Amino acid sequence: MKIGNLKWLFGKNSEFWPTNMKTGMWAWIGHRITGLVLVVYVFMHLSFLSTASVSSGGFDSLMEVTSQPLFVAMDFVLVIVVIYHAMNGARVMLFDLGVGIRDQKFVFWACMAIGAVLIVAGLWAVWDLIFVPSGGG
Amino acid sequence: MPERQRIATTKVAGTWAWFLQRLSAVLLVVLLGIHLYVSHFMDLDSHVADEALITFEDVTVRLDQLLYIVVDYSMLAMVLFHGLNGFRTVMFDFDMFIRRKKTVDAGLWVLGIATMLWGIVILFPFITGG
Amino acid sequence: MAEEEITIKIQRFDPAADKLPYWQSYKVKMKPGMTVLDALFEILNHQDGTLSFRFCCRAGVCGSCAMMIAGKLRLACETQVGQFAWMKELPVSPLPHQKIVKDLAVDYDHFFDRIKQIKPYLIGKEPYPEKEYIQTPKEREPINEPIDCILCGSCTSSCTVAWTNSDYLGPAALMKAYRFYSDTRDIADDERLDIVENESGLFRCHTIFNCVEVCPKKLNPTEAIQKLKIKVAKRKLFGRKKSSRA
Repeated sequence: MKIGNLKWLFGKNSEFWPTNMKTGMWAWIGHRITGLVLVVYVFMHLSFLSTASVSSGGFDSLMEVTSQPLFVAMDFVLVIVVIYHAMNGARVMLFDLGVGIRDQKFVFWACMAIGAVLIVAGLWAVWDLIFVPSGGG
Repeated sequence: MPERQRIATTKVAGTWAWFLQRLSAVLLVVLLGIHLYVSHFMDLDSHVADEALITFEDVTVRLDQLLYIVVDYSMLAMVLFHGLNGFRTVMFDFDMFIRRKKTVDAGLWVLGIATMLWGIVILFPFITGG
Repeated sequence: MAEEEITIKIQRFDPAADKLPYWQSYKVKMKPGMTVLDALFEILNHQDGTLSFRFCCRAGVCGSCAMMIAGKLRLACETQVGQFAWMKELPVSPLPHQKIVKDLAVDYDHFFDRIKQIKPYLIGKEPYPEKEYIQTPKEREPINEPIDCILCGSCTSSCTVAWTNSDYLGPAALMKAYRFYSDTRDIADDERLDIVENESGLFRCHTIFNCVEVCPKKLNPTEAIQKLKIKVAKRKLFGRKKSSRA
């Protein structure tokens, strides 16, 4: 009999308990979650754009709303998600090319380091839009 | 035991799905870079937030050029392929979906093509200028 | 210091009597060099005769005693109890996601069925030689590592995909396929690739590396799978080589 009970599947002695999970497992779970988030986002993005097919004014006012600091911040979260997915995807593709399989942990952290640099650069680019008030023009 | 005989009964190669997933990933990174640059940085010649605002007109002017139309549509196609193929990979990790492989594939194709058509229609107002 | 005690918490489950597993704790006096398997014997012989577990060689060769010890899949016979002295209780449970026969013993049928799929035997060139196939040390190099697999089932049990997809061949079977694929005496290369080039074969591996983390022999099933993926992709993109098998 296979045990289907959550306590036994995800308990302290299971491989899913956070302290038992290793680099590759975290990377994979992150890749899955960000991937699913991005699929949902694509459909949201399309439905936002489709407001333009109703009226051009509707599109402009939507763009005005989305240029609020809060929305820019949310956009930035999206950028982080994309960068993680891309950098981890680069890691997976390295493995597919047969590169660095034996040093998978190093490859993961190297990719994450590049991702962190990209995120910092992105933050610098959007800093003004989030934290500097637009002056109400 | 009937349950055991089901192992590896799905004799369908996924090599193309696997390879095209990687190919579309690389293309996406390039296209996404262009997309972000075009829509957020190209007209951003000052740091005042107002002027960074994208308006309907901005987009219309941009989409007068065939290049931008091609970039936008190919981006959409790549995103849909990569996203739905990735979702297919996630689904096939579970018994209930991989044993209904044909249904899953058909559903995703329908969803993908319908979304692509929808996306093509969405840009019409911009291309024709309202 | 020899008289230290350790509490071992064992997942007990008897499918005939219990609905769900339960933890049972035993106190065991630690001896120098005591392994988890020794501790289990101590419990079996002196405390609870109803405890079930599987063992055979007691030297890390047979792969019978793989179990979840302190959150990681290890061989009970190769794991010293002493290193867990700092823990309040040492949790021991059977291989995850497998059919439990009783307590720590699991049913390996599904695991071996997965291995049987990939034809885990040498397909040699006919006519068969009188004595043996000759292989130089250099030709053996690629299989030096994967040949060490002891079929303990740790990798396939720890693989998340092998859990949710019962058709998936799993790391052990795929590494076995790689072992015969790269064997110079084996001629069924294309046939082996045909078996693993499959949505339930190679392409269910998402390089999670759980199998590499847990392998008690420090093998690298992920690398074997990735190498097979490259071979399969090359064959798909650039066409098959002329089949070596008549």
